[in-house]
Amino acid sequence: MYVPDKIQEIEILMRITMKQLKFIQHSFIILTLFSISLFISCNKDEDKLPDTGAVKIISLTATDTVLKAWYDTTDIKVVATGDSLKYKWECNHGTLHGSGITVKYMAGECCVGLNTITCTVFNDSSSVSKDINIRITSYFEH
Amino acid sequence: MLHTILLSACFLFCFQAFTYGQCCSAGNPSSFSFTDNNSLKTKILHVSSSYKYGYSGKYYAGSEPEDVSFTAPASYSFIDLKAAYGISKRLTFEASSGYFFSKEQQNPDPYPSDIGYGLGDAELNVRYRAYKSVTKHIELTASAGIRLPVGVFDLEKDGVKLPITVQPSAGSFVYLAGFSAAKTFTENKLKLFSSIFMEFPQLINSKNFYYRYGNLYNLSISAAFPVHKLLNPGLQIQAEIREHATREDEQLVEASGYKVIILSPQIESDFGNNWSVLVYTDLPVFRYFNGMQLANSFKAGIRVSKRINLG
Repeated sequence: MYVPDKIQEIEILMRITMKQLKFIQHSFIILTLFSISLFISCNKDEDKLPDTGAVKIISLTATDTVLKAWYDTTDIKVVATGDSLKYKWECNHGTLHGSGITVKYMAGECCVGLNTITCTVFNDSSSVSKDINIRITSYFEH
Repeated sequence: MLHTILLSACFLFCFQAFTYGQCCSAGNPSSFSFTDNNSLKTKILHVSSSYKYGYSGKYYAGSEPEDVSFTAPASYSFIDLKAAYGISKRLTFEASSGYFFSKEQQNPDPYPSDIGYGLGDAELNVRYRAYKSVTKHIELTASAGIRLPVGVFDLEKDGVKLPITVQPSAGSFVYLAGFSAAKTFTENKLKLFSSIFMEFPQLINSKNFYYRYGNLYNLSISAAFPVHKLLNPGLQIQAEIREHATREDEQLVEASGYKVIILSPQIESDFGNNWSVLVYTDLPVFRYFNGMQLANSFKAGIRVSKRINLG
């Protein structure tokens, strides 16, 4: 009588161990998938340097803030203070040309609306960004 | 051993595509070649690589070319690698990704061209053979898939980010769905295909960007008439509709979306041990563009493929 009871006890223990193993296996799969999804949807903002106040944007101005699609262009200029400054430019719609403190912005018919141009000024210790909005009107508007 | 290596290489390639994490843009050129639509037999691996070139030279407003005072054509040069595997007699799994040698948008004088290049997005598809009649030579296949925005999306030049139209990635997930029917006539070997494919791009929502490309619907009817093993000509007619894109506050982008009818002549040659080469071109015969847009003039491509039995 003693031996079968012991076997039953071992069986129960094995079932519990199997359940734990399955739980660990499932957790591992979920964790792996979660890590992959985190890796895929990486956040570009993490790359930016902290704003320590060393760099300061004084002004971000455009020669014109309303442009006709495929027809007009505008010069956008940034004035900033700080040591060994570097500049990054991006826009949500349209095209930027140039580099450094001045770029030229233009856009096509697909970009009609209020568009945002972002300038980031940075050096080895800090980074500051500022936006300017430019409205693009239709090529067909008179 | 060779088969195992090839299979591993394909799946490694697919997994590698996942390792590029990006955030947002306009994506891989779509391909609706009719030879890709059917399910594969169990344990058949179909590996192919295509080179595609597309050129857009004229602006269209509605269905007429618009006479603009500047020239700003666009073009792309793209290569892809695709692997499809017959998991069972009904299910086929397919994975693909590609690389843009160039994605160029010329600008009016005196401004230089914007040129993007790099890894494009990855695509995963499952095809399900819903019906097959050996006596009637009819096959119906449904497919579903996803395009993953794993390609390059942050290209810049001298600190200035390039426009999204030349970034290799579409910048968002794209859901894919399709249905195709194939019929072979035994008396003259004529093959008829009909298919409908849909793309549902998801919202690109990043710090500086909020945009959703319009859904795409492609309906095609194709016929192939095998003359010889080395000469298998086909003709496909496609009707394609792209809906309007939307931007911030759900504003409709007026100059987006189109309706086109495309004629696609193609020649396929089988040679060697299950090798095949396909040459095709897409020629638009009718175009209607909302607002005013740069319209595709032609696309052309060549695809080399190999069918391997792993059973």
